[in-house]
This record gives sequence, structure tokens and C-alpha cells, in this order.
Amino acid sequence: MEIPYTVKARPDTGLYNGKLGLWLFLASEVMLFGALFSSYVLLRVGAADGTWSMGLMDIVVGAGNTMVLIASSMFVVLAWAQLKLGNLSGPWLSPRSWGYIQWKWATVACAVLFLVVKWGYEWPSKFVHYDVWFKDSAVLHNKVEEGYHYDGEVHKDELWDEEKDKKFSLARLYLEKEIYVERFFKTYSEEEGGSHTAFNKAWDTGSLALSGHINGYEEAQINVEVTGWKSDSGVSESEADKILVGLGVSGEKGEAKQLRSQGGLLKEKVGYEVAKRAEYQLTKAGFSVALSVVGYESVESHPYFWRTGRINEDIGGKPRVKSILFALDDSHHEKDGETHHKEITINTSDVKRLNSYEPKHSTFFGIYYTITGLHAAHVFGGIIVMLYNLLPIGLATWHRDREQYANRIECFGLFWHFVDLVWIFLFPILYIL
Amino acid sequence: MSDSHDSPNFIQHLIKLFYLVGGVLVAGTLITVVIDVSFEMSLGTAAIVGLSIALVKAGCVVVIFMHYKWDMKLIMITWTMLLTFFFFAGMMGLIMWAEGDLPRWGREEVPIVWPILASLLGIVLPVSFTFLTVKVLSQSTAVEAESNAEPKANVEVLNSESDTEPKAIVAVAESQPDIIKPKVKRAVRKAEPDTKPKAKRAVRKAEPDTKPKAKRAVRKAESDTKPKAKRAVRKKK
Repeated sequence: MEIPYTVKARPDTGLYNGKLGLWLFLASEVMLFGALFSSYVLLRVGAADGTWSMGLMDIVVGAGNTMVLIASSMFVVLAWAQLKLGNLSGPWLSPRSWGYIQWKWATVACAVLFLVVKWGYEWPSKFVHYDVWFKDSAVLHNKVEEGYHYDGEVHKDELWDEEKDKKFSLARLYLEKEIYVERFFKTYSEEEGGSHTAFNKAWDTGSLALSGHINGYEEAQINVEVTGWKSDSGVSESEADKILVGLGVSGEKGEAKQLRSQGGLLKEKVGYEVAKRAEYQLTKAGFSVALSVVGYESVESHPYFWRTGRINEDIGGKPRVKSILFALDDSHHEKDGETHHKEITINTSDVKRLNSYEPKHSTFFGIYYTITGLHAAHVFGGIIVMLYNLLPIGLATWHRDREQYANRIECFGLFWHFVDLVWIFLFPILYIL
Repeated sequence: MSDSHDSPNFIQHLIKLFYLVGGVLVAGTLITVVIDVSFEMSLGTAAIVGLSIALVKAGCVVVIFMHYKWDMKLIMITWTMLLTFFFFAGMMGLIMWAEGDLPRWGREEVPIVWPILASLLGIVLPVSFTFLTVKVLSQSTAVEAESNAEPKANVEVLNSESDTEPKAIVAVAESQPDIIKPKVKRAVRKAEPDTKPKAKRAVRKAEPDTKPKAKRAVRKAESDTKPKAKRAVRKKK
């Protein structure tokens, strides 16, 4: 059966069917993204001073990615134009003579680059960037002094605030002027001095967060002890012993049997993961297990997705993480001839909340990941379609019916331009407003 | 893009336009970044500046990259997008009214009239959207494709030349269904009863692209028909 109107326009619509279908699809996409945009704008405008996590986006990276997408949008129309001229392929080394295939591969390259920047840099860099809130405002004030005080010489002239005719502590003033007002209080027009009022309130109550990276932490070293075994747990003695042997108990001299019947230390000073895995396996086999923290080990690492519950997890009455080494944002200083972020040690017992810049962090990040994720999914889908069109199976249409193939590429172009359009609006909304 | 814009010269002209628009888009992005970095703006100002530049960029993409400049006469696209926009805008207004959540609107409580109005709109909007969409999609006189050049002139010809051959009228009517006025329709109807074979020929003539392959497929399909049906077909022929 021949599908009608793939090349010629239908008399009643004036369009070939694919194009009309594509426009209807784009209409539904407008509704989808429009709803998300509107939600974002409503939430943004309605957010109180100091509650919107602005200034956390890297505008240079965002602008760079915008350029990449613009280039891809241009390449895709150039590819279509070359098809209309009948130029399927040209010499690779002479871009002026590039044909459809060359421009299309350039589009694919741009799309891949966009996703690499998005999923390989922008998102992961946020997953290791943390905000930490303290239970007590006094701890916040101390940590700020500790973190920023060294920079006194640089900001000496800012010690006196003429407007308020009041002397502020250096660190506080530095923070107010350089970090938080820029980051969280970009709402100058709402109310004269509103930003500063909100800041002062947040400072006094201790609800401000310190931002930075976790460069290291002290994690518990755990003893795993078997305290008993239930014979009615549905697991036979030999199976229970096998579990113990699997966890490192010697199978000789009845050691497993002895541990099962009398209890005792199974693992000594092991890490969290090993201890929890052993606990899980033993509990399933009917054992009673006790975990106890016997010390803490320093780890130099950048954790992903750490949250309050994780660091404060109770293990035999002690927290899983005792302290974190926190490298503060905007605290660059010279050390051994190199620029470093000032590192402060934060006891987890002082932490009220710890969150990386993941969706759970705030409303802003929730909607940021939703919209950019949906957009990136469209880019990913576009790459698959482009690859199909470039492969022999897709190009077969060109060899059979050139007009139909050109129309197919035009339809894809419409979709791709829409993806570009969405980003054109996303860029100012997410990175600037 | 319609077929009349397929000439190599026009495509070459388009390519230049594509480069130009690409430059505008890049410049727009750079201007946005420079303004954001250089000036301390309020949220409102930043929104106006950022979204205005984005609107210009989006306009360029839609008009040139998406060929809307040349597809503008195809009201099917225009209506689709316009209806989408109005429906979307209406629904957004509806949500804001229903929730009473429009920030800083100067009212503490939502008067009862708003939810009632919102509920009514909730019915009216989808119904009117559906009605208009169905109406637009079902009308056959909506298209003003570029291939139908100067339709008005053709109608005048049809109206003035009362002695026009019925065959010609049918041919014109078939090629340009969107411009058929009642008077012309009457002429076609008058011509139809006694010109059916002629009209068929006209149709056949107007469809010279019926491919031999397709014909063969039809013949093959006919050959599968049972003998009784075959006789009926032969009789009909």
C-alpha cells in the first residue's frame, strides 16, 4: 500500500501529511513545555526573598551550550538545503562544499556535545556541590569567621558600612556583599533593602547555608558482632554456617558452628558498606547482629548525593560520619603558591541539613532538573532519529524518492528547531532570572 | 515549504539567510550574557531584557529556520499554533484564578466569583478549543496554497465566461476546491450530469502521475477477486 501525500501536498490542508502531523505534535509540545515554563515563572515570582537558589548556575557554560545548540539548528537547515540542491555528500575537507551528510553529522556532533556538557559536566558538578545548614546560629557565625576571616586584608575597606553607620564583622560583611546577596537575594526591586533585611534575618536565626564541596570526611570503622541465632527462622544450621563461611569465618574446626551457637565478633573495624552488607545477609539467615563504631577513619573523597540522614545515620549510638572537611565557595586563598578554597571542619552533630544540588535541594533545582532533563531527552531522541537518517537504512528513501526524503528531513528539522526554541527560552529563565 | 520555492536560486538565497539568522542568534546570546554580567538588574528588568532577546531569537528561528515565512499562507499551521496558544494561555489564566495564587495581586482572599468563573471557563475553553479545531480541520476551503496562484483571478474568469467548457470548469474546480463560490458550484453541478465520462477523463488527465506500478497493483488485486466478482466487475466496466 502506498502512503498518500508523503510528497505532494494534500489539497485540503496544503501540506504533506508528515508536516501537518509534525506541527500538531509541536502544538502538544508547546502545551507540555509551556506548562512547565509557567510553573517555573509562577514559583519564581512568588518566592520570598532568600528562598530562591539563584546564582548557582554557571552562565558561561550555559551560554556555551546555547551556542552549540544554535549551531546545530543552523546545520540542520543547511543539511536540508543541500538535499534540495541534490547534493547528498561532498568532500569532508572542504566545508564550503559540504553536502547533506556532512552537515547532518555536524548536527549530530553538536547534539552529542550538548549532552556531554549537560550530563557529563553540568549535572555531575552539581551533585558534588553542597549546602549545609546548622542547628545553632552560633555555629554558623563561628564557621563563617573561620572560613573567611583570613581574607581580611583584601576587604579591609569594607569593614565600615556607612549606610548603616555600623561596624560589621569582616566575615559577615564579606559574605553579605560577595556571596549571599548575589546568590540568594537577587530581588532588589521588590523592596528597597529587602534583600539585606532578609539576609540579616537569616543570619540572626542561623537559617543561612554555607556552600561548598566536601573534600573529605571521617567515616565510622565498625565491628560486626553476632549475638545469637534463631533456629526457627526457616534457615537450616548448615545453611546458616555457610553464610558465616561466606562472610569470612573459617570453615575448619567448627568455627562457624561455634559462632552460630555462642555468638562473637565476626568482622573488626570494617567500613560502612561491608558492615551493612554483612548485617543484611546475617539478618536474613536468622542471626541477631550488633554493629558498633570503634573508631573513625579519614577519607579523602567527594561523595555523591550525601544527605543529612546519611551522615547522621545512627550506628550503635554513634553517627556514621563524625565530621566533614568542607571547602567553602568564594574563599580562594593562596597556599603553597596555589589557589585553594578555605577548608573548614564541620561536626555532623552540628548539622541540621546537608544537601547536594540535587532535585531534593530546593524548588529551583526540582524544576531545573525536570525541564532540562525533559529537554535533554528530546535532544537524545533527536540524535537517534538523525543517526537513523544517516544510516543506509534511512538513506534508502533518498535513493527511492528524493522528495520524500527531503520532506522527512524537513520534518525532523522542524522538531530540532523546536528543541532549539525551548532552550532559547530556558537559557534566560534558568541562568539569568 | 511549498514547491514553488524549490528552485536552486531560491535555495542559495535561503542558505545566505540561514547564516544571517545563525549570526543573529549567536549575537543575541552574547548580548544576553554581557548584559547579565555587566549590569545589576532587578528581577523585573532582567525578565524583560532576557525574554525580549529570547523572543527575537525565537522569532528568527520560527520565521526563517522553520520556514514559516513561506508557509504563512497555510492557515492550517497558523490555526494549529494559534489555537494552541490561546488554549494554553486560557488554561494558565484559569489555574491562576482558581488558585488565587497570582503573586502580589493585592488581594488577601479569593472572592467566590473567581472560582465560579474559573469553573465555567474550565468547561468553555476545552469545548471551544475542540469545536474550533474540528471546524478548522474539517473545512476544505481553508487552504490558500501558493501553488494555487491568483485564485481570485481564476474565479473571475469562471464567473465571466459563461460559455466555458464544462470540462474546463470541472478541471479548475478539482484543482482549486478552496475557491469555489456557490455560482461556480452550480455551474459544476450543471455540467456534471451529462459530463461524467468527460469528467472522468479530466480527472484521469489531471492525475497523470498514476504510476504503472500502482496500476499493476490494482490489476493484481482485481485478479484475486473471485470469478463471480470478476464477472460483476467486467459487467460494470
